[in-house]
Amino acid sequence: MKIRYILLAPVAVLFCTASASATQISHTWVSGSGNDNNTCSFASPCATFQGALANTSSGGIITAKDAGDFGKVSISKSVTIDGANLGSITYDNGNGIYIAASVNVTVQNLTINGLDLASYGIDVTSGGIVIIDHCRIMNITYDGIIFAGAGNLTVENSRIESLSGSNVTGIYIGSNAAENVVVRNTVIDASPVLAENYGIFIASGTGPLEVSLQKVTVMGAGNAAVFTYSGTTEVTGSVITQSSDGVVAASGAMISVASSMITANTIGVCSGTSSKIRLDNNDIYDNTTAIDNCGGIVKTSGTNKISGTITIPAADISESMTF
Amino acid sequence: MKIRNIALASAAVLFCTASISATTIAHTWVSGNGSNSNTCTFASPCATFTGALAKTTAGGIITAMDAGDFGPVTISKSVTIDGANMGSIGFGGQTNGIYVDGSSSINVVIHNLTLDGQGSGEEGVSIINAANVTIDNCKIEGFTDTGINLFPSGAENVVITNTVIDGANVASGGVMTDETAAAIATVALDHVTIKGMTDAAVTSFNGNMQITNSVLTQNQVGVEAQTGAVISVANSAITSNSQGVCSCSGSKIRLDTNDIYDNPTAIADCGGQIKTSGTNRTSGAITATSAEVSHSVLF
Repeated sequence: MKIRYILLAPVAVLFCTASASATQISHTWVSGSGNDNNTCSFASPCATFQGALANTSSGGIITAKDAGDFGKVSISKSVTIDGANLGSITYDNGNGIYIAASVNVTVQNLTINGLDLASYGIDVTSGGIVIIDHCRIMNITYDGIIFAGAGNLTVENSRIESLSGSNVTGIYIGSNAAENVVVRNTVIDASPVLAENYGIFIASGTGPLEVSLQKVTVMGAGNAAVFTYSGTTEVTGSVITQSSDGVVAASGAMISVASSMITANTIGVCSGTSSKIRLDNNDIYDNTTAIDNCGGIVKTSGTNKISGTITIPAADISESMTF
Repeated sequence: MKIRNIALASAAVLFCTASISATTIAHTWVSGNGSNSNTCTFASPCATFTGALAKTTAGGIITAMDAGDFGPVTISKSVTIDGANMGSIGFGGQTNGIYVDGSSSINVVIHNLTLDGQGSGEEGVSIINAANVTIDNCKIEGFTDTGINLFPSGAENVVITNTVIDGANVASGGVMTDETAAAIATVALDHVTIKGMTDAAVTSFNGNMQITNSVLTQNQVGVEAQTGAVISVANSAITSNSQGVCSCSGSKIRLDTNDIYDNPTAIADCGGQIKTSGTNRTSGAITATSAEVSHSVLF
C-alpha cells in the first residue's frame, strides 16, 4: 500500500489533479444524488461504492445515506459497506461484489440484484474475515455467494432468492485452501426449482473445510438443498424442505444434522460411498424416501422422528422412532 | 438513463400514449408521496404496489423507500415485494390484501410488510396459482376471515417464516389450505406466531404441512388436520387454545418436542391419527381415544 501512495503522489503533482485518493477518510457516504467527483463525506456524498471505496481508508466504512443503485464494486482492502437497507447493487453481468484479496470485509443491509443476467452475487476469491449480514442476493444465474479461497466467511440474517439459470447455487463453498464458513439465520430460496440448482454446495477439495449451518432455511433446490463433497458440515436448528434431495454427502464428506426439519423432499437424506451423515433429534417427514441407500454410512440417534421409506439397511436406523 | 428518458419522450410525442408497459424495469420503488404517473424509479417513485407492479419486469423487485400504505395488489407474474419494514397494505373492505394468481411457474416473495385488513378486509394473502410463494417477516392483522388462504389450482410450495398473524379474536383462521382446492400445497411454517382466531390457527385440508419454532396461542383450535392432511409440529408452543390439537378422520398430526399447555383440551378426539414423540410436554385434557400419546410427558 505504501508503495502505491508514493507512486500516486508524483502523478498528482505533475498533472495537478484533485488527487482524492491521497486524502482518504475513514467514513465515506454514497447517495442516490451523489457524484464520484465529490469527496464522499456526508456533506459531499459519492455516487458509487467503487468511487467511495477509492476515497475510503483501509478498515473504513461506506454508508448509503439514502436509496440508490450504487453499482458493482471490486474490493482489495479491508472495508465495511453498509447499504442501510436502502442501497442496492443492480447489475447485469459478472459479480456484484468481488473480494479480490485476503482482507476483512463486511457487507450489510444491502440488496444485490443480478437481474437474471449476472453470474455471481458476491465472489470471495480470498477471504480474510468476510461477513455478509442482512443482505438480499437475488436474480443470480450461477452462484449467490461463491467462496473458493482461504479464510473465513460468515453469512447471517440474509436471504438468497430467485435464483435462475440452469446450474445455480445459493452458496458455493470449497477449494484446496482452509475455509471456515458459518451460515446463520439465513434463508436460501433456491426456487424456481430447476434441475441442477443447489441451496448450499460444498465442492471437492483438500480444504480443510469446516461449515456450520445454524437456523438456516433451504428450499426449492432442484438438485439438493445441502450437498457436500468434502470437509465436515454441521447443520443445527434448520429447515431443509421442498427440494429434490435434502441433505447429501458424497466422496468422503461428513454432515451432522441435529434438531432440524428435513421435510417434503423427494429424498430426505443420502450418504454416498465413503461418506457419513449423522442424524440426531431431527424431524424427517413427508419425503418420498426419508433415508436413501446411497452407499455410505448414516448414523442415527434414538431421537429422530421419521416417516416415509427408508432404503438403507435397517440396522443403521434401528434406534430411530418411525412416525 | 438519459438515453432511455429521451427515448420515452419521443415515444410519448409520436404515439401520444403513456407507453409505460413497454418500459418495465427490474427494480421499482414506491413512496408515501409517490405517484402512479411516475416511472417508479427511485428518483420517480410510484404510489401503489399495483402501479409499481405494472412497471416491474417479471422477476423484479418492488421496494418501499419510505413509510406508506401502498394498497392491495393482485400478482400474476414473478416478483419480490419488499415493504422494507415501513410499507403496509391496508385492505379494509377488500377481499384480499395480496392475491396471487399467475401461472404454475411464477415465484413470489413478500417480505418486511404489514397487511392490515382494518377490521373489514377478508383475507391477508390468498394464493391461487404459483410455483413458489415465500412470506417472510410480515405482520398480517385486522382481517375478518383468513390470514393466509391457500386455494391451489396446481401444485405449489409455500414457505412462511418470521411472521405474525393476529386475528384479534374476530378472524376465523390463520393459515388455511382450502378444502375445495383442486390441487395440493406443500407448506412450511418456521418462526410464525398465530393468535386470536375464532376457528383454527392452522387448518390443512390436503397435502402436508410442517410447523417448527412457532407459537399458536389464544385461538379456538391450535392445529387442525382435515380429510387426509398431514401436519407435523415440532419445537413449538400450542397454548391457551380451547383445543390444542385436532386430527380429523383420515388425517394425521405429528407432535415432537412441543409445549402444549393451558388448552382446556390439549389433544381432542376428532377421529384422526396423532403421533407423538416422548418429548412433548402437555397439560390439560387428552380426549383423543385413538391418539398415541403414551410417549408424552404430562406436566
